[in-house]
Amino acid sequence: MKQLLVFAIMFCLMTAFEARGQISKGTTFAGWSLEALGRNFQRERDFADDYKSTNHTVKLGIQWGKFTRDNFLLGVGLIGAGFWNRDNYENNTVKLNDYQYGIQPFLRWYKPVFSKLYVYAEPSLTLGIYTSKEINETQNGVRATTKSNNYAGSIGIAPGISYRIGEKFALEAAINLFTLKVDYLGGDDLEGSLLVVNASASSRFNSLFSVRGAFYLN
Amino acid sequence: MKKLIALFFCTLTVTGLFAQNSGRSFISGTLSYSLQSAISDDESYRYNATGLNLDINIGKFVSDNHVSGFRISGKLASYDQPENDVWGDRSNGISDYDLGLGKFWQYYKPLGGQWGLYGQHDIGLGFNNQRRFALSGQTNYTKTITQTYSLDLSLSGGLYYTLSERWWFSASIGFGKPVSLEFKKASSVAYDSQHSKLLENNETDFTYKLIPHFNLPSVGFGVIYFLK
Repeated sequence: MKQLLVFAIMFCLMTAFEARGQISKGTTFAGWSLEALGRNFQRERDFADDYKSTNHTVKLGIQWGKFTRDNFLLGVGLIGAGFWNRDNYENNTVKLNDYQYGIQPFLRWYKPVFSKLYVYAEPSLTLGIYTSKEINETQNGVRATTKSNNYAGSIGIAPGISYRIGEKFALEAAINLFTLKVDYLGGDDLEGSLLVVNASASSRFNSLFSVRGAFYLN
Repeated sequence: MKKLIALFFCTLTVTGLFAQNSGRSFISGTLSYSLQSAISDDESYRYNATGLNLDINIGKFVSDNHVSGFRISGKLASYDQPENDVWGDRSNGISDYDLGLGKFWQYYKPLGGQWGLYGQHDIGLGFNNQRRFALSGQTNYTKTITQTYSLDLSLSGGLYYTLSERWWFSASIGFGKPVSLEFKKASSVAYDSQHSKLLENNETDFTYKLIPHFNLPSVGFGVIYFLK
């Protein structure tokens, strides 16, 4: 029922307005996204060991591009993410550091829905490196380190929406209604390499929209 | 995981509407009462929960399209597990209470006719206190008190419909909580059958989130009453 209502509202919005507002050739695009979260947890118990845990996650994405035709964007994105975790037990400490780096060339076709709202289709290629390092240190000073390096390449296409706030600034979100992806994975954690083809379509509209900020500069 | 069968669940929502002395001010609110009862298949586990929730929003149009307002909310609830009755009336009465305070800003954009769009951002402070009893083994029981403090920045948006000059309906479509901070403190004490303290566990948990995600759909209906 909820989904039906949302689709009905979206349909009304999309059909109630004349399509206008081209994004002209030569416009420069600059976008970014940032996510951060973390936790500090402590437990003290009678007749049992104390425990302390801290973790932080930061994800950063930067995109830059140029409109080579009206409503057609050629761009490249850089992705960086870090995950830091530290667990303190009574007799030992475990530190885990994970990092991800990636480069993502992409294309975008825009379709104006009404004056401030655009939908777009975005095919992209992602090449990424994943590194992980775990250090287990006991109170006696015994230290064990585990490292791994992995890489991945993927090609995918996803739709999105862009909503203008003011002349040059827009909020954008990928719509998780369907995805089409081909992943190639390899590295220390895998024996050999792996090719994964993933196509999924969903009629459910309750996915999370990850929001980005973007500038369109003439 | 025990399979629970909900025997009875009832939520009665009444929208409370009260007058303000300014034509550009409005008040809207929710009063809800809930009853919940559950029992596991083998009847080894059951609970009864009742709750009373009150949420009041007071807003004022500071320009044609902009609203600034305050929100206050409160909740009282009891949570009763008959298996804990061996410990007398300790587990009776109010076990949970919540208090929330918020400041909100809204932007209204008419679409023509009686329909329009609105967007809202708000900042909220919350406090929750929860008390639970549990049997541990045949003779011991554990009392856990959890207190949660939160600070959130939220975004929401949706449609509104002007039924008349004084009555508006609103339907939120999307909801996001891009910034949230939470501090939780839990203290759990185990007692023996003579009611003397056996051991104590203390936990603190602090989380922060900066996640600009939107959850769609997040549908909620509301009624707004204006006075000229």
